[in-house]
This record gives sequence, structure tokens and C-alpha cells, in this order.
Amino acid sequence: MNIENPPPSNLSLAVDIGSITTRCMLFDPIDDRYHLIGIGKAPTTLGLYGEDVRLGLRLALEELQANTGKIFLDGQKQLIQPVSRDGDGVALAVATVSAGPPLKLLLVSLSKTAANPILDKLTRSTYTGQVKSLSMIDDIEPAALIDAILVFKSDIVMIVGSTDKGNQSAILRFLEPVRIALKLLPEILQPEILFIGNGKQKTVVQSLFENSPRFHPMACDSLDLEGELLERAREILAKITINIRLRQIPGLKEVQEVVNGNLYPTYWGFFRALRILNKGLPAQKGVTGIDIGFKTAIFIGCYAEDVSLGIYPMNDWPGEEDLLPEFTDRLKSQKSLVSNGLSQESVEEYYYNHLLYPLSLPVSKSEKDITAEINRIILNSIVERQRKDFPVGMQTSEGGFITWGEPILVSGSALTNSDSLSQSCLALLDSMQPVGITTIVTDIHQAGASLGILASFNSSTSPHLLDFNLFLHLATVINPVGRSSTGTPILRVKITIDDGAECVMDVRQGDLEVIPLAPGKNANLQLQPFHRYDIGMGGAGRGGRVRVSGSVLGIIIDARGRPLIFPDDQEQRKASYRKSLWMLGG
Amino acid sequence: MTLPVTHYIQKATIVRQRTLPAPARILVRRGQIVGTLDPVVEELFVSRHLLLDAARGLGVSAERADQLFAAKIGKNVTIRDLLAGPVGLTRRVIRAPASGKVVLAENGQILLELNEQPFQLKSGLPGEVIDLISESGVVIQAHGALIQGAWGNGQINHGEIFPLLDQPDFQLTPDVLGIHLAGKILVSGYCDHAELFELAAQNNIRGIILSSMRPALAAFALNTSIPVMLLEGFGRHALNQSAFDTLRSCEGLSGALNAEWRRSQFHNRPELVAAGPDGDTGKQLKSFDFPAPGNCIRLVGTSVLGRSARLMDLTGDVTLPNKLTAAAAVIQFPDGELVTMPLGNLEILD
Repeated sequence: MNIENPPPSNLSLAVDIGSITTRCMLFDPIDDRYHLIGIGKAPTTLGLYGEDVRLGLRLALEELQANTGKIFLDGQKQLIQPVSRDGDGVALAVATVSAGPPLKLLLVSLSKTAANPILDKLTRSTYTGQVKSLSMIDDIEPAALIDAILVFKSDIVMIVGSTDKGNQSAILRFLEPVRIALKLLPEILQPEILFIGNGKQKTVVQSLFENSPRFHPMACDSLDLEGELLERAREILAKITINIRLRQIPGLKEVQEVVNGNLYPTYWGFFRALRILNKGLPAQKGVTGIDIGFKTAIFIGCYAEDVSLGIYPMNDWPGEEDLLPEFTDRLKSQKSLVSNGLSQESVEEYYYNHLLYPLSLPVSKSEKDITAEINRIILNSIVERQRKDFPVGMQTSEGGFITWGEPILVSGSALTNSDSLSQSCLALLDSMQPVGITTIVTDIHQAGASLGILASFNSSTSPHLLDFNLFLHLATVINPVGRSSTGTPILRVKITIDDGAECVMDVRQGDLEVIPLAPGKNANLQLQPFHRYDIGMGGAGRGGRVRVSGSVLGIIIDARGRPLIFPDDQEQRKASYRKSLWMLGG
Repeated sequence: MTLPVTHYIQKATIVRQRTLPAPARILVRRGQIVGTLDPVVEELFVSRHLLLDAARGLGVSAERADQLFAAKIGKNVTIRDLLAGPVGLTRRVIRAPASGKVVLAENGQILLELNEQPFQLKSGLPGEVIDLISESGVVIQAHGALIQGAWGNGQINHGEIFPLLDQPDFQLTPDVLGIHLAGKILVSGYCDHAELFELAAQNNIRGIILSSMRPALAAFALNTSIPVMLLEGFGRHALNQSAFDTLRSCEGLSGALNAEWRRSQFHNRPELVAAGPDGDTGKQLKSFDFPAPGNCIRLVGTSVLGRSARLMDLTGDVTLPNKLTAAAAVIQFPDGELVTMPLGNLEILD
């Protein structure tokens, strides 16, 4: 190798500015795979006594440089881009951001009928917190309407047309107070305006708002936002989200310049990563992604072109408007707890203190249990919310179960901490109750969102772009569905490991069994369900052969039943939880 | 990894920005001395309005009504002032139904911004205005002791600092409150009584600083008019020794308690500033710093709140007794006990 002319570096830098932590990751793209070279982290310095996010970014970059030994900061601590003659610097830099308060959305419907259910999908497609809805069927005085809009100070105004042709003068009369209110807002408070509707309505609405620099029209003939239309609306919302964050977050504009404009919402990166996985995997069973962060929970389901996206900002502080009431209700209910020896007050106390000290980790075993319990409560809450919107292709025809596809990609430190994996896995199984066969993969480096963005700069759409060396294969899970009494054998499993070892076992109804198969090993499973149990291999009673790879927790056969029914008695519930956790090695 | 810095410091130069998100009117000038409760910034934007359909009221078209407007945009009007007209045989007019300012007069409509007291941001600490931030706010500098908290209920007030605890784990109960404590900022330990806040407000107590309280009391603290600040967090936790000593040394001093806490947008912490001697300047303060052996640190996280220690060594990633793996440090408690603790559970004490 000629050292005077070293090969050009393709190092790619991915920055993620989270609510609590700013993370810089250095990747080396080799053979369509992004290899993680190193990570640097620092607290996100958002608005702290006059500081802006650049301080946290600089500290994270310095740590990354120290960790990797590579040089990509110049003497003025500026990013070297593109790669210098000496081979220093990075070829590509991208950034994602999830920091910032929940967005306020004003939803204005031009329909005289009930609200379009599609709108709920769209409002969940970004970091939406409070939503205020106005409709032409509302009887409200114009001045009161103006005041309501001015007091609310929305970040986004989403104007949705109606399915009928619409009375133009009625639309104009209804929107006039909205126009006035927005005109009165100072420049800095001007919201982004997204219009979705047919061409005729678009003309009317545009005449009112076209002078606004933040008007985004999306003409469509039908309000049945599916497929491409929904994707386009989501793309516009992602762009709108960044516009808002650039105004809200000091220093973010400069970060955007550093990455040459490649700044996206973090959820968008994660969403793209899931889309790539979904399109590229041969099994075509669909994929699910879950990200539980400090302030936001994200749930994504992709099956063919049907995509479900749910973003749930969680409460910043109980006492403010409850953004996820299901979570708060469960947090305050002793009945919802399953873990060993926990009181409702101890769980609540730990949760509130964690809001005060978000960097803190559980120190004792009971704190670890409480963390797992809180994660379980969060998962239950968002699964309940998101279930009805999940892609139809992932919903079973009987029983209303969801397969969740394969793999289930889990991100966010809440669920991926390396020493709570058994608890996280059990929380996932208990909340999601998958059916059939799937795998659970954890994004231990929180790299999924960054990879989803980096992949858009790579012409290959192979899922290998998401290098599975970056992700931890947590478990293969087999979930039989059927009816029989507890203790009845329902599934025969014969495992033949590549090294020749063999084992046969019968799984009984009510049991949670684990077959260890370490990472690096592979095996063939021969599955034979009894009593017409369905394991997702083509119908009730149908079995077959499955090739599996080793994983941290091995092969889990969850025969506890679907739906899972937890005992009412708390002591029995705790005993059941302890037993299941013990089976998973927790 | 950098760690947050918590200040319990007897002599410091404290510099704080006081800003409003909307375009704002600055009410003070550079060099001005302000008190804790003095308004320094005022919201320009008021959101109570009255919309009058002048065209309809005058019985004319919108275009014609525009020609009949008597009050121009920006004009302040009082009740019954002429806004539009007269027109027609009957000399129809539109008069102001309330006092305000004309902010819009177009398309036959008049929008009045009603006279309302705009939101004013208080100084939050006594000091000198050293800088102005255009259309946004001010920078204020103060000198004295600084004690930072973990949570606050958003209120601001000032009074004489009155420690009401002889031990860091003292429990504050309503029976000790009375009118004799009027004008004081109480400093105490743990609180378990919801009625305490309202009782304090009734007795003209200016503020309450606690080490901790039950989570259920947060709603009561949020609903009271006096500032409430927690130094440790929620649950039953004693005050850490460093805070205890600093607060005891501030007894009798005039204190400004700013219990604002906006974790969602800014990581501003609630604070007590105790007035220092005139002209006495202290060290500049950091919000984050790199941990190093010898640092005094306080422990955070539910089971360790209220304890302080000394950082002995940084260990890098270790596996803790609860099988968690994290970047950690070896710390030593005052009794000599050595413990390994995740860095995320430490704050540097200053």
C-alpha cells in the first residue's frame, strides 16, 4: 500500500441528539455493511444556562476521537469534511434529532362529518403531544376561535379537506378566523401549515395561506391516505418537524450546516431502517420496530406497503397534560404490577426520580425490577394504543392476534441494557403476545436510526446495510396458539444442532420453555403441533422444519396461551412472573 | 463522560438569562439593579381578542366597510369609541364594545386586541442587569450563596432563610408552622403532609425548601402560590451533608427562591440565591464538568439520594452487583466505605 496516497476514507459520522444524550457514531462502510468503529457520548446540552446543543456535540465528538484514535476534528475542533489529503476527516456526516418538547398540533377539518380516522394515524406520525381539533361542524364564535388558536400556539396546523366537493364560501368563512389568528402570531410563533385535500379545496386554502412561508400543500383526490399518499404525508411531516426543531433548539441550525443539511428526526431514521429491513428480508413476514426512549416511545410495523407508525411522547411531568393516560393509570394501579415484592408507591417514586435524574441507572436489584416494571407498563400502554392500526397482513384472522413479523427490532436503552435482557424479553412477550415464529433483535448501540439515514446514501437497499453485527440476536420465539387444558402436550420440538447434538422435547400448555442455543451456533428445528395448535406454518396443526441461529436467550417456546391471562391474585401473579423470568435466565 | 455539576456554594458569581420565547419587551436597562420579584421581560403578544363584523353591522359590502373604518390599525380605543361609519340614512356606526387596540381592519372586519395585563417574567434573583438579549430578555448577575435543587413548583419569592431542621433527616410537619414564620423561607427535610403547603401560604411563609417528599404531594405543591423546591427528589431521603451545611450557614440571610423547573425544554434547575456581601465576587460556575479523582460528589437515583462522597477513581466499564454493566467510579463515603457506582448516578458537587 502506498502510504503517501492512502486509500480514500469512507468513514461516515452519524450524530444523534437525544433528549438526554448526544451520541456520535463512526461507521466504516465495507461491502454494503456499515461497521461501527466507535461511539462518543455526552449529555445533551439543550438550553442549559445559555448553552446550546453544540457543546454536547463537541464533547461527544472529542470522546469519539479519543476512543477511536482517528482524526476528524481540526485544530479549531471543527469537523474535517470531506476527507483530507492525510486521510483525516469523514466522507459523510448525518444527524438525527429527537430532543425538543412534544409538538402541538392544531387539526382543522373541513369536513362536516365525523373526523377521519386516518387523521389519527397522521398525528401519530411525528412527536405530537397536545392536539386541538376544530371542525366545520363545531359551533364556535370567530373571536373565540381566534383566541383559542392564539392561546394554543400550535407548532403545526394540519388542515384536512373533506371528501365532498365542499362549499367554497363556507370553507372560506370557517377558515377566516384561522387565517386572522395565524396572521397575528409573531414570526417566531408562526406554525407550519400542512394542507391535505383535493385540488379544488387546495386552491381555496392556498388563497388564504399561500403568503405564509410555512405552507405545505399536498393535493390528493382521496383522503384514504394509504400507501404512497400516506408515505408522502409522513415525509412532509418529517420535514416540518425539522423546520420546527431548527427554530426551537439553539445551535441546531449550525449542526445542520456541519452535516451539509443531512438532518432528520430520529424517528424518521428508525422508520427508514425498518422499511429497508421489510423490503429486503426474504421471509416477507413483515417487521416490527420498538424504541423506548426517555421521552418518546415509537412503534412501527411494516408489512408489504402497509406501514403503521406510532410515536408517543411520554409525560414530561405528571401534572401537566397527560399525553399517555394509559401509562399513568397503569403506573398508579397496584393491580397492574407483576414483579416481585414491588409496591405501587415504590414504582411511582422511582419513576419520578428517574425523570429528575435521567442519566441515573438502577443500582439495586429492586431498582432493576422497578425499571423492568416501568418498561412493561410503557409497552402495555403503547401496544394497546397501536394494536388497532397495525398492518392488516400481520393480524391473524382468528383471535385478533398480531404476528408482529420477523424480526422484532428493539431499540432504546430502556429495553436494550445488556443486563436486563431477560426482563426486557419477558416484558416484550407479555405485552406484545406474538403468535407464530419470530426473532427478537436488540439495537444495543442505538444505531438503527443512524443506519436508516446512512442507508439512503447507499444505492444498495439490501438489509445487510443494517449490519447484524451491530444488533444482538436476543431470542427466537415460538408461540403456539390453540385451546387445551393446562399441562396438555401441544408441541413436539426436535432440535438438531449443526455439531450433531440432538434433543426432543414436548412442550405443554401453560409452560414457557427455553432451549439454549448460543450465538454462533445454528440448528434445524422440526416442529409438530398437536391438537390443531397453530405455530404460523400454514395453518392449524401444520408443522415443519425451521432453520434457526443461536441467540443470547436461545429458543423460547411460549406456550402460556394466547391471549395471556395473568392471575388476579397478586401473589399468584408474582409467582408466575418469577417462574417465567427464571426460565429466561433472569 | 461529563457529569452535571450541582452547586452548594457560599460565595459565587451567579449569571442567569431571563428570557421569554415570544418576541418580548425588555422592561429594564443595562446596569439596573433588580429585585427578585421585579418584572424584567414582558410578553409582547396578548391573546384575547374581539372580532367585529363591521360590514354586517353597517349593512354594506366588505369593500365598502373598509372605506368606512374610522380607527386605523394600531390605534388604542376606549369603550364606545367610533370604529366605523357613519353610513346610510340612519347614520349607522360601529363602536368599540371594550377598550383595546385595533390590530386588524380588513375585509369588513375589525379585530380588537383587548387590554389585558401581559405576562411578565420576574427577575428570579436580586442582582444587576449586565446584558440585554434583543427582543428576548436580559442577563442578570448576582453575588452570594447558591444552592441548587432537583425539582420545583415554578413559583418565585424571597425572604429570610430559616433552617427548620437540626438533622438532615428531619421531618417537617404542619404543627410547627405558624404566623411567627411569616416572611421566611423554610428549609427542612422530608415532608409527608399535603396540607403543609396551603398552611404555609396562609401564614405568609415565602417559600419551602425540602430534601424530599412523597410523590403524591407533587400535585399539591404545584397548586400552591409559594415556591417549593426539593433538593434531593421524591420519596423519603435525608438532605445530603454538603447542602445541609451550606444552608445552615445561610441562616438569617435574605434569600431568593426561584423554583422554576422546565425539564422539557431547558434544563434550568430551581435555585436558592442567598445575598452575599456587597462587592464580593466569587468563582464562575460550570454546569458540566469531567469527573476526576478528588471530586466531591453527590449520589442520585432513588436508593442513594441524600448521600455525598468523594470520587477516588474512574474505573471505566464494570459489571455492578446487580449485573448491570456501566461506566463507573469508585467513591468513598465519609465513614471510609468504598463503593463502585455508575457515573450516571453521580453529580459533581461544587
